[in-house]
Amino acid sequence: MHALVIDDSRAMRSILTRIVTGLGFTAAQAGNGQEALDQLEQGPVPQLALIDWNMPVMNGLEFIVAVRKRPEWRDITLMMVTTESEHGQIVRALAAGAHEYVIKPFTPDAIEEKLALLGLLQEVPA
Amino acid sequence: MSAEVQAPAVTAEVVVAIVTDVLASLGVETVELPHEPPSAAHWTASVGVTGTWGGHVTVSCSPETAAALTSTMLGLEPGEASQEDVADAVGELANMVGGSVKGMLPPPNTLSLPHVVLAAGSHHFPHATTVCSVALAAPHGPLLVDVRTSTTP
Repeated sequence: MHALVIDDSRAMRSILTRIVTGLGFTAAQAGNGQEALDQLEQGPVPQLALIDWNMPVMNGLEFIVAVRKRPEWRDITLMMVTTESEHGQIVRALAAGAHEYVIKPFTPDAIEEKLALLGLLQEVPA
Repeated sequence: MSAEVQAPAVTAEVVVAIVTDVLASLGVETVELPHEPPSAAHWTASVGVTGTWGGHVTVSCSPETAAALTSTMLGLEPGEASQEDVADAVGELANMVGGSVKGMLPPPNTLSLPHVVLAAGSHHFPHATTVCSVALAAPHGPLLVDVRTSTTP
């Protein structure tokens, strides 16, 4: 399985990449939503995208809206990983097409539990 | 608008709990320390909150502490992190702390992207009043966190 980690912080990209690769994913990184869209156009299309909300150029919510307009990307599981914790923001992200929502700070176990709930760990070797 | 809504939920105790959670997520255990403003060169990252409440949250620490936390976050050996890496990591710490503080406030509010500087001496915020200041133990020194409310109309 392949994951795309989208965050404007290199430190946060590194943390998330270590977590998902530790769970058996391969991972690529993008610094904002537009960079991520460019990577999707070029392929490979990931099974999972971990998406920050507040980023320059294109934020995470705009990225989700853009992805959901493209039928060929409908199988990507979209997980917001963000400091935005207001109920209204969570509802907006889920309504736009996010499958899951993780609030920073998080533990590696929290990411693993969400991925397990989404059924994304079943095909990953232990 | 910004100064009309107080932030009763944002106490020193709450901020200590927030920073403790942020550091714990990085695998860093901490304890609260006496807060003393930095006098030597230090990294400071600030995020602004605008909406029902207006103000900002700053995270400050020594270059040695910043470098150690950066190495932890990036999974690097000590000394391998660049200045750019350190600025990014300290900014992300401010983002996580500021986001958690924002979560304690009545919505809606917007969080800015982090602004990070390496500076000498204490910062002066002429249009802000300190809500609380806390210090927590981190590698090589304290991590200082200040929450200030804007006083401009």
